[in-house]
Amino acid sequence: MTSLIRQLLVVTAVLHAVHLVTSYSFNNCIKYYGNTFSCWRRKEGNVTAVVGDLPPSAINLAISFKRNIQGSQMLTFILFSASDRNLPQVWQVNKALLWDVPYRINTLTSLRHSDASLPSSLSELSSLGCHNSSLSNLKYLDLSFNPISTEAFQGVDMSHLNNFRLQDTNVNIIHLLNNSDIRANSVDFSNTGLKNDSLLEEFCKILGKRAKHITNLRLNNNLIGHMSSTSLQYCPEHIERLDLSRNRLHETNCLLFLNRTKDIQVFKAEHNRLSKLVSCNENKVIFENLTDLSYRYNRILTVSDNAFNNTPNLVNLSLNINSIAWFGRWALTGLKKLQHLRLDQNIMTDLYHETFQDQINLEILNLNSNRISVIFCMTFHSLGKLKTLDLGGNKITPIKKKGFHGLTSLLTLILDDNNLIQIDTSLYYAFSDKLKVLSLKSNTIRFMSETINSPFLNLSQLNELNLDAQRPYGLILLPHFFRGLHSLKNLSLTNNHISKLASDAFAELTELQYLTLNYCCVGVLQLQPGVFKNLKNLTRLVVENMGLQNFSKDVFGDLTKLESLQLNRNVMHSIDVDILKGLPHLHYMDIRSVPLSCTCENLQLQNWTVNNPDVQVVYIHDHPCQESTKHRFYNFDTKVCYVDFGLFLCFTTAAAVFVFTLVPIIYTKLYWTFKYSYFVFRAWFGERWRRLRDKEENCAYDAFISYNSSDEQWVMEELVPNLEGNGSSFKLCLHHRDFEVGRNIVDNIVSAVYSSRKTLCVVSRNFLRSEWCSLEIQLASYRLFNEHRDVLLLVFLETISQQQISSYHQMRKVMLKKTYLQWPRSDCTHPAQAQKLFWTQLRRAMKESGQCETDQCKSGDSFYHKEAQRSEMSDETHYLQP
Amino acid sequence: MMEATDGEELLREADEQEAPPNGVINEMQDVGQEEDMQEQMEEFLGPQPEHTEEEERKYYRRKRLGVIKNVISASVAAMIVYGVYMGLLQMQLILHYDMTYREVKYSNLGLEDIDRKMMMGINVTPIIGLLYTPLLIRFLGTKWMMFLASGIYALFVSTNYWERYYTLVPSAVAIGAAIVPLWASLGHYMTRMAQQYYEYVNYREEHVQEQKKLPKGACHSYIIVFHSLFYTIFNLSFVFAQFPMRLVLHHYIIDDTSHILCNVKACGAKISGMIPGFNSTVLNSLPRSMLLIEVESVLMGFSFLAMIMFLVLCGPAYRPTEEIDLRSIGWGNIFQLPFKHHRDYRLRLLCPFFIYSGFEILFIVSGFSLSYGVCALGLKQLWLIIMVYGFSASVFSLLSLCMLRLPRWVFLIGGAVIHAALLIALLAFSPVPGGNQCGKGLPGNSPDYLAPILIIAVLWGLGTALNKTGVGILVGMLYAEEKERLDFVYTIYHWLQAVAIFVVYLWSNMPMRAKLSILLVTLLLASYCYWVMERRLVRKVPYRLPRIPRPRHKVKGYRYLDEDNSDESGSDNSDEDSEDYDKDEESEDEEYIPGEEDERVNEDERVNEGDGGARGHDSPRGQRRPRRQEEEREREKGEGW
Repeated sequence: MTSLIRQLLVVTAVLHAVHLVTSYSFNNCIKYYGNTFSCWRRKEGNVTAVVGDLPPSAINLAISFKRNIQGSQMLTFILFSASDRNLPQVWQVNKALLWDVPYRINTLTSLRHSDASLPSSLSELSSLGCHNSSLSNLKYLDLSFNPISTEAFQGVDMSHLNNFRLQDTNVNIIHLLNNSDIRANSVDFSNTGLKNDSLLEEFCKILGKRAKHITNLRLNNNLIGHMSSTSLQYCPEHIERLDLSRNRLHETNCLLFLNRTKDIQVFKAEHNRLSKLVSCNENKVIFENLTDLSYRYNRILTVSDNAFNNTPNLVNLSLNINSIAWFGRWALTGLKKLQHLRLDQNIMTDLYHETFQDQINLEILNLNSNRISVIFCMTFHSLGKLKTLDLGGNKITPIKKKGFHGLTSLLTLILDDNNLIQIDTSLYYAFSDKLKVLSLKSNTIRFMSETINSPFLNLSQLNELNLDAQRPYGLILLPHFFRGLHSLKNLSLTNNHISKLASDAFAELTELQYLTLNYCCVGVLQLQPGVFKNLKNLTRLVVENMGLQNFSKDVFGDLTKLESLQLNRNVMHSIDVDILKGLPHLHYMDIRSVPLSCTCENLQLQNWTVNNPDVQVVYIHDHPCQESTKHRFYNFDTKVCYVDFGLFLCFTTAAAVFVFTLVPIIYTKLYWTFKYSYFVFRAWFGERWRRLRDKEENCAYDAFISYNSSDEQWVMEELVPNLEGNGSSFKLCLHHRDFEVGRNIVDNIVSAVYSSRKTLCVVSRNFLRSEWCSLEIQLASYRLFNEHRDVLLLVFLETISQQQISSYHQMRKVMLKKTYLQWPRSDCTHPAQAQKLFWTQLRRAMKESGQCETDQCKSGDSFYHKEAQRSEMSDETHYLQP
Repeated sequence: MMEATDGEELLREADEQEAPPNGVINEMQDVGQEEDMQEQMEEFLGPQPEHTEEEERKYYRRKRLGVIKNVISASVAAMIVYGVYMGLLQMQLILHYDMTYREVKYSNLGLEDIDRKMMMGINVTPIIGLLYTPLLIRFLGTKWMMFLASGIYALFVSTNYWERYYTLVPSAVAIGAAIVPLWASLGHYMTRMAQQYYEYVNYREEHVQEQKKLPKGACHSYIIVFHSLFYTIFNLSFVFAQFPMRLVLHHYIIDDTSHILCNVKACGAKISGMIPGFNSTVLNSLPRSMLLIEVESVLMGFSFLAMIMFLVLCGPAYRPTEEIDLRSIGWGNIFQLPFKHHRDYRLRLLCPFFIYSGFEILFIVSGFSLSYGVCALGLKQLWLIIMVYGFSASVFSLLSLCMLRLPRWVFLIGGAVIHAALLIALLAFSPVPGGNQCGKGLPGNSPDYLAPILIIAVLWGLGTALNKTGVGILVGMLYAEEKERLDFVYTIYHWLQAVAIFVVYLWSNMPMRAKLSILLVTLLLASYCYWVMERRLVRKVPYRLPRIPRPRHKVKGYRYLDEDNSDESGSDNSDEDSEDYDKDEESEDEEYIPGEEDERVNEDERVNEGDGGARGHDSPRGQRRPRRQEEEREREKGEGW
């Protein structure tokens, strides 16, 4: 009773008040569905601290403490916090739950609350020091285990008591019955020392005097060793229920001791020492009214045939928790009205064809925890009304063909803890379209390949399927075998060492509401994206200890109806709050033992868990930080975290500094390079653009030939015939031929340059000396800059060395920039071919409307000479300089 | 040498924009307009021949004031840049040292690793500085180099807004790359300003007007003054660097020294590493991130201010033409010359001093201030130690002005003696840790070390001032007359200093006594080498200087375009020729006898006059002769600088 190690105290407080329901995280309690709170094993030693943050709407409350707690404090809380909270002062301390609390209340002198019961262990209460009338309103009084004596009840008005208990007191029950006004019907005579026949007889006499009709006679714990047929002969004739549990009966003798009270309806002889139920064939006492018979917790080894012949109308028969090894084949013969039969926790090994043949009305058959190893053919053939069959905890390996034949109404089939190796499709044919619950927990089912036909194809009504903990190594693989389970609402797959969950593993289970996957898998599991995508109706998901490393939207984002999520014992370091915010119905989330890191990464999560009004995050205030013991998750310091402003500032200032550094440097150092490049680009671009716009330009001439008069002979004899005649039809502008007469020569040159597509310079030494020719080159090159057109074509008549040309820098500049054509002189190897090539090149150059040639003739007599592309930036800068 | 001056003269003329030749219609005028504007301004400001003497004097006075403005603004800007940089670095390193801060803010980011990489970037990258610093300085020019470096430091500040691997490490590497160029430019700039100042003072002298080499020792006094001024201002950066620490972080650091220093068993000379056993939590509470952003924004503002000062207030060190000449000796030569300058025994013998000056500066700010100061006094006093040190270094830098009167060795040796004495004292000094050994020791049983440590800081500051200013001035004085070599020698100086800083970074885990011994040995070696150098100079031992090649205007600059003879540059053939010629030239070093440079210059002049015959093989020279005459003609007209 007064265990110091751990004392549990459970209080269920029923508060008659319904307030607005808000749900959030509590320091010490977990809120379950409804307004039930449980505050288990908290470190707080103070009740008020434990329940301090509970909402006033709390209705049920269960508290337990790790340490011993002063009962008085508890009681004080119970009695006074009600008034603190302005709640109606109606309390019921549920006795059933007050089981082992070391109450030590010495000063309790009065019981004021009309409906209150004292705890079961007011062990030092020796007298009721109250007014005679004080118990007049009491309905329920339990004074068990108090050393109270009979005298205490002298003159106490107990006529209103409905329930009065006096276990293990000093009260002489016979005297009490004699002397008080208590109603005999309402007294529990358990443990009142009526141990032998003489006392029983005396008691019965008085009882018979007080009442003719007893509904409930409880004689528990009275050390009765034997009931002879005369023991109860003076008792009232009408006893509805007789309870002889916790006595020392060795036999029942076919209930012969009840021969005077034949209309008994319920008889219990639990926790006795019965070892055998003998056959009652020759017994003439028949209990027609007996419907409930319970022999639980006895030592029955044998149940003989016809053991229940004297009770033919039994509805409920409990023989569980005995050691029945011999269960007569005809033991249940004649019990046609039996609906509920419990035979669990025995050591029965075989079920015979005849065993249940009369139980046509049986609805629940419990054969749990026996030693049955085979279900033979037709064992259950007459149980047409059976709804629940529990065969769990047996050793069933094979189920013979037609083993379940006849179970046409079966709804629940429990086959836990057997040795089934596979899920046999053919087993369930008899009830396959009706079965609602199927439990196959702890069998030895194991899959080695993923391609398996679904054994559940016909179980279209199945609601609940349990495949937990297959022995010894789990399911290992999860094949696609949920096909056909269209109604499945509850699926449990815990402890199965599944190595991989395919992304469509649950694809067919569209109605699923509860999915339990804790400990289902091995190691660190990566949930496939979309694995839950069809589970639109899922309301509760348990994925405890699955080694989840992250909480991703692909996996959890689709569970829009999710209300409860248990993520404990996974290994994720952070949880994305956006996903949680995307689960609108979430109310309950358990992230205990998830190693969330107290870092800025979880800033949002901290905020959300502490502040959201809808989701209860279990014990978030106790969640530790991985890194330090100083802080807890809910209050780690977040003010140091980045603000996005920092990122913004970083990149803007970096960009600003960059620009501010480079712009002045580039401006001073590379200004001219850029300007020149710009111009070249514009020239190039303008050229391209113009070429696109109009293929043919409006030019009077194809080319203006600029030459020195000393080269006139070459022009007239070679150039003009080759370009104007000889197959090609260029229109050339020659100064002696096409210049307007009377016009200023400069104007003529300008108009000639501008009205020709190209300006062809025939360069020779004389040309270079000529001032006019220089002007013509100038004009042509000017067009490059002003109009962004390259019109200059150079033809070198003589080989002019760099040295010579350098004196004509204007020319040199152009030469550095442009390729030019060299007239093949007569001393080269094949003059005729070379000249032919020259003309071809020239024509091509003239047809092109723009950029300089880039082809290069690589033949030995390379007259088409291209100067190395000297286009270094520094080279070109000077081109712009005045 | 002569070639260099020669080329320079050639350049001068190009400045004058001539009219486009013989009637060519110059449509490109608009393109070159801005250049023209500048030229016109220059011409407008420049002394005109018809200007009176009074106007000329005023003009040069204005110029001199401009030089002083340059010196001061460059010093202040450098001070701001370093103040911001060191302050930020110190604040961040302390914050990042704190375990709670690190874990909450960075979790698995591995901030320690980032910091280590960052320090590595800052300390290791300068090792390759010798390879590119002269190229960078000659390409950008001194002023623009300083501006670019200040931009890189500002970039570092801005990356501290968002501390990630991809921001901090690149910016740290950039800083490491910018350190040597920045310092080489600063030293170079100060010395060059002294030369300019001299030129503006003695504008009437013939050698100034002809832009000849300055006479020996002419600008030494300006070098001394400017360098002293620079270091006086710059050393204040240590003071300003403590502001973020004092004003912001101070309130968050745990007050109780006995807690922070709880596990520290020993201090000073006894320990190895920085402060073994230092508590990994130093912050009381974490500062708001917004507060840090505010601090960084203020620092960012100052960085911008420094950039603007470099950009706007600092004038260029050279005229554009000079800069082009400096650059025109060929990038290959520019790359090689820093290495070749090691042939000069004066520089060689100064190398230990350069290294020592790197050692000592990092020793005081890390080794001493942590292993002695923080260890004995707690983290809250760190700012005081460094501030006192910076202030004393700043004030005592003014002492160097005495160099105008006293011989220069007094200061270098004086600084060395002070440092040697302090090093010996520190070898023996092991203060009792300020903590109470986690309750094992009695609280308050450690003596009050504040005064001794501050005195050491002050004295060390005095030594630093004498050392830094002395070395800077000495290098400036040794090469005072040769502006073509300034950036090379300052690059060597600061590169060696950076190498020394790298060594200090490497040895951070060595025992303190070993560090101190290395410092002492280096100091003694440096003093000895310096003494040898001075002796040699007195004995007039000739030293070798690599020949600076004549500027090769391979780049066909605009100046030559309008000429009828665009000299040697042009065809590939002639280029090759000149290359060969340069190779000849490079291969020979010139021997100089200390104290006889003037004579040599005169000799050069003489050779110059009697041109032609002596340089018969030098074909481009022949072409240039008419220009030279023309130029002399112009000079006669009275135009000049």
